[in-house]
Amino acid sequence: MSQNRKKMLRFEEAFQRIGEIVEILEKGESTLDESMALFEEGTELTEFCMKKLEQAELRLQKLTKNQDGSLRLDEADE
Amino acid sequence: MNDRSDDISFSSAIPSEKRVYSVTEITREIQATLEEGFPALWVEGEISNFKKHSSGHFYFSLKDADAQISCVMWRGRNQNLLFQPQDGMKVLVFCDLTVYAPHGRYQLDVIKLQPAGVGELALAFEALKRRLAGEGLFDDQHKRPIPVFPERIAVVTSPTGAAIRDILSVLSRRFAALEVILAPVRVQGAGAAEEIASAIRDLNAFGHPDVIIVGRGGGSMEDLWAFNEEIVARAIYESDIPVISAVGHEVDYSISDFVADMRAPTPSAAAELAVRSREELAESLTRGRERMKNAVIMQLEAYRTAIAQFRKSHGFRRPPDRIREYQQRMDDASRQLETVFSHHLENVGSRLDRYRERLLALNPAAVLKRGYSITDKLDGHVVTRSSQVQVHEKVRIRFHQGEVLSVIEAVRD
Repeated sequence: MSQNRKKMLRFEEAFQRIGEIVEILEKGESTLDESMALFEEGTELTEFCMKKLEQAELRLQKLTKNQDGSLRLDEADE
Repeated sequence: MNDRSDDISFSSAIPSEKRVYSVTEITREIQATLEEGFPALWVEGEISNFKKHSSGHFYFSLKDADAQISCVMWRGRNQNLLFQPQDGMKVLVFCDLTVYAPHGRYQLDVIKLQPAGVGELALAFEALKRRLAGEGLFDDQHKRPIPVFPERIAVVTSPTGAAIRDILSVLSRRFAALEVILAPVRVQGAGAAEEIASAIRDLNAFGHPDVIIVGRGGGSMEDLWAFNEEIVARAIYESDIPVISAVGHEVDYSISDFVADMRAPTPSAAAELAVRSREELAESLTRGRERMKNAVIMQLEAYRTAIAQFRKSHGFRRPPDRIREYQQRMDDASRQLETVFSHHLENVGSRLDRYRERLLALNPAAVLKRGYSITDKLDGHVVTRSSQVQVHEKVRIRFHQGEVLSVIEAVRD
């Protein structure tokens, strides 16, 4: 689970990177070559973020204490 | 019962009919008289000799200037207390007067214990607030930033309360690609503060949420009291994970609000503060996409203009067909941009690579970037031979970035 989370590109990182790309492109100091690469990266990140926004599932879990005091997460229904 | 009426050496004050009680009997009589004569009553006094027995029962005396009386408060009744009784504290107790036969003592069996005088709870609140503020628990330098895009949100609250319902409803309306961890606790009554504090600690050790919301829906000051307990304040302070405190309604302030990294007026507001709305995010993504597109289009336009200028310059003796080819590639690149938006990103990627190579080969800017420069006469003609200029003539030299105006000092072949 947490492995998955690590591999998964975080929305936050993607969103921030898009902001950076917009700024670099608007400064207009990059070469056409660089701009094209940035543009492509930005477009892919935007697609990724849009897709994430469309995923509407909210996952609810419950923190539960085991007999021995250790903790676990149980899936919970709303 | 005993007939001693013949013994006249006794004082006449002693009634002839003497009634002798056993200790138990008289105690029982006293008990009946006192306990029936004083139904449950209120007593005000100052606490002294306060002891919390390991059994959980409280033993103390109530006193004033001239008298004192023993008190006991059983564990079952003292668990819901909102404050820690201490010697010297003025209190009001609601109690039964009872007689404890084994010790021959009467005592107050305390049902309710509360600070004397109105506003005493508020005073206790202010006192704790002052003390914790003095310790620096509320200082801004300890506040952790709330993450802009939390993906895991923990909520410490009652599993059946209004707060969790409100929070879940707001979260699912907003950016819902979220994991929510509910740490179920009691939010009022016996042990609530301990449960809240321990849930905060547990979440720091397990589950790794990005942010923790601690709170409950509205209620009386007593109902909200758990969030004014020192143990909760300390757990929030010690949390490595940012905590949003959301207790009661907008007007309710609790100690947890002051120590938390952010205060939300209500649980719903906490959810809104933690998570940005889907519409807002989609909008800024769309805006970002437009801005990227416009920036790239502008850059392409700038290149196109530059080519047109180079073509006008006589110095660039490129065959016209090459210029046209170059322009066509620029047009293709613009169309390419549109395609990138629509679909087939990989495909577009490889085509972009081809364009990139070709454009680079032709691109005057790329040449300039390598350190070459272009010299123009002031009439715009590019200088390609020294014989085109004369001593003292002004020329413009363009670099990869910027240009300079120069004066010719000498002309050599």
